Parts: sequence; structure tokens; C-alpha cells
Amino acid sequence: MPYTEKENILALREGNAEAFTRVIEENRRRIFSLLWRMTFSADDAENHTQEAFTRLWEHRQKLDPQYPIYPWLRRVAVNLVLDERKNREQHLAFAENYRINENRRRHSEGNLLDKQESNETFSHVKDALNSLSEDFRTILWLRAGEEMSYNEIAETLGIERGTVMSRIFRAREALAAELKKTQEVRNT
Amino acid sequence: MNSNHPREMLSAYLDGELTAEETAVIEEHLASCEECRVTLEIWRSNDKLITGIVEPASSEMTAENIMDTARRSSNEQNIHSISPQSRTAQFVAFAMAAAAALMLCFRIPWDITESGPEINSKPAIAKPIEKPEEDESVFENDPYSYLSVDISNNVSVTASAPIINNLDMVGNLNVGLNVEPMLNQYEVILLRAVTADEDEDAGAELLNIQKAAKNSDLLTKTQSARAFTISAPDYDEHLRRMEMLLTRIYNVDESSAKDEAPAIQKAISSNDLIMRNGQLRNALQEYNEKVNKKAMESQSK
Repeated sequence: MPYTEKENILALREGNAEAFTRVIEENRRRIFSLLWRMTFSADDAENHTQEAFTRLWEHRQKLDPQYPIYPWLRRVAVNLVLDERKNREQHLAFAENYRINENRRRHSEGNLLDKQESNETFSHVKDALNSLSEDFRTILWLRAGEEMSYNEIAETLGIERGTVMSRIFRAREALAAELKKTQEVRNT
Repeated sequence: MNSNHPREMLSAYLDGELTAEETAVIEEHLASCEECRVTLEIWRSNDKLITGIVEPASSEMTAENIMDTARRSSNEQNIHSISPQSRTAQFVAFAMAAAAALMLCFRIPWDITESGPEINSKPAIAKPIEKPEEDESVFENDPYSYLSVDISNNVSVTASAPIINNLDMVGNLNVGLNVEPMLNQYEVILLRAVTADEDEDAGAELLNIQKAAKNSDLLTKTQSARAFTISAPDYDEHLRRMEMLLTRIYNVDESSAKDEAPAIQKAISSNDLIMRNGQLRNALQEYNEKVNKKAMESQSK
């Protein structure tokens, strides 16, 4: 007999490993997908997926069975990426002072699509998304893929609703421009 | 162009995030503006394109693996928070963790040859250290001497390479990864140090720790303080442990410790210094990689 999520949460709160496994099974693909779409790196997405579930286990006793788990996980996952980027950026800024960091940017250029089979239909979309900032990629996915409202996005990213609105707009413009560019290149 | 076209509102319109009045305004505009109608359709189809991309399979992750790793790493994180029965045992437990963190921090050599480390009761209050001049040759020649970062409040921190090199381990202490083999070695000595003052070897080690601690700065204190207050259940306990750390390990007198503990606590909660420690480490790592690469290149020539 399948378990309801509420039953899983109640058992998980008690430290039941089987319930935890069920919760992981039900959420891991979505979480991985979200993380991959933010980072475009399968390795990073896997690491953050693991970390998100580790946090879930650590905070299991605070879970409220009235609420679904996925939004909680999603928020943790998004913030793992944001925190990591913050560290990376500050590190980069520091390193640049000493001119010792010319060409090491783990994610942003070139190898984002590692391990990803090139799929002809969508490869130009991936290229276009690849050239967008992580902020833009993230917010486009939260809106289009996760179908979150502006308020939900604002809460998850810790920004104002007005910022959500303008960032989505700018992300859409940037994506459209990139797609147009690749289209023009293809046509020549 | 955009000033004539309410594009941001158009985007929100696509997402159904406008009020009834705003919706009416946009729809009126759309009725008369083909350019915006086209844009809207492009955006709409791009949204679909985004959701059409298939992510790669996360091949190695099964729910069981994730569960095992999650449980293992959160258990390890609690290694130092197992509650001992007595207050003495409690102190020994966290003093061990703290001192081990410190020793890892400083990579203290057991056969330290320098004679007679001076210990005095002068409080080792953290003080801003002057930033070295931005002379690149200094850095190029000896990255182990000066790595400095500006901290947002204009305090500069200078750290030496041994500290930086071992930050990983302090980090590992925090998250409870595999430092146990290493810890065991230190724990034995530390246990002796904190339990038996008459033990000469242990006493010497304690002196070494204190000496290292004396030369340290807020940065290092923050690391070690975080490592061993992380399991404290509340703020007061945090402060109590921190004061303990400062008086017993850093040889700070009690009243200074009381003053200093909240400042370090603040640094911990802001996470600022800890993060910057990470930056220093990364920078050093990159520097070393670069040097190694250069050496390899010149060898191959």
C-alpha cells in the first residue's frame, strides 16, 4: 500500500530510514533537475542534491506534516547554489587583486554542458541558456519550469517581488536575444 | 523603443501576475501593437523551449545512496556533541575538539625545536593586523608570508600558510568528515594535556598550543571557536564555551574573555571570517597550482 506524504513525514520525523528513502525517491529527480537547470553542471547538481537531503535529515524533527516537503527542499537547494556562488564570486574578487586567477571559473564558461549528450533540437536553447547568467537561468526555470508565482520566487530567492518581476523580464529579453543570435548564425 | 512598449508589464502579464486594471491596460495596448504581440508570443514559446530541455540522468544517485550519505554525514557532525555525563567530561570533550581544531589549524610539529615558548597572561585580544603593502614580489616570492584580504569593516587579516593549508581540516571538523584518524592522534595528547598538568609531554603540547594561539588572530579564533561551539544548544552555552576556549586554550584572562566572546560569536554568526578563510585557502591553492604548472612546464622544456 502506498504511503501518503503525510505518513512519510511523520515517520521521517521519528528517524525512520525507510520513510526517508521514500521521500528521497519521490523528490530527488525534481531537485536534481532544478539544480542542473540552475548550474548546468551534473556534478554540482548531484552534490547539491545530496546536500539538500542531508539537510532534510538533519532538520527532520522540525518538519510539519501539514506542508509538502518539496517546496522546503527546493528552497534549500536554490540557496545552496546561491551561497556557493556568493563564496565563489567573493573569492574571485579577492584573487583578482593578486592576479593569480586568470582563467579558473568553474562554471560560467565553456564546460557547462559536460556529460550532456548534445540534443540537436534543443542544443541551441541550451547554448543560449548557457550564455545567460545563473540568476537569469534560475529565475526563468523557477517561473517556467517550476511554475512558481512571483511571491513564491521572491520568498525563495530572498528578493523583492518587484525585483522578481524585472529580473524575469530582463531574463526573457536576454534569452530571446541569444536565441535570435544563434538563429542568425545558423542561417548564415 | 521600450519606453513606448510596457515590456516589463507584458512579461508579468504573461505570468498572470498583473492586477485587473493593469491587465486591462496591457490588453488594450496589445490590441493596437503588433510588435508587442510578437514579443509576447516569442516569450511564450521560449518558456516552452526551456521546459523542453531534458536534464542528464543522475546516474550514480540512488535513493539508498543518498540516504546513507545523509545519515552518515549528519551523524558524524554530532561526534562532538555527544553529551557526556559529567561537567568535567564535558569540558574535556570540547577542549579536545577545540584544541584539536587549533592544532590542525596550525599543524603544530610534535618535535618543536624552538626553546621555551613564552606564555604570559596577557590577553590575546584580536587586533587588526596591518595589511602588507601591495608589493606583488613579496607575494610571488613567499605566498606563505602574507595573504591578506580586506574585510568589509576595514580590518585586514593576515594569515600564514600553515593555517590556510589546514582550514580544510577545520572545515572538516565542522561538518564531521573524515578527520578521525588524525583526531585520535591529537586527542590522546590533548586528553593528557587537559587532565594531567604534571605530565611533561602533555604540558609541552599545551604550551605549544598556547603559543600558537597567542600568535593567532580573530580569524583563527573564529574557526576554532566555531568548531567547538557548533553543538551548543543555545547562545548562552555558546558564550560559555567560547569563554572557556579563550581562557583555557588562548590563555586570555577571564574578564577579557567575557568581552571578546560576544565579538567572536558575532563573527561566527555573520560567517564572514569563516568564508574569507576559505577564500584565502583557495587563493593559496591556486597559487600553488600555478607554481607547480610553471615548474612542470620548465621541466618539460
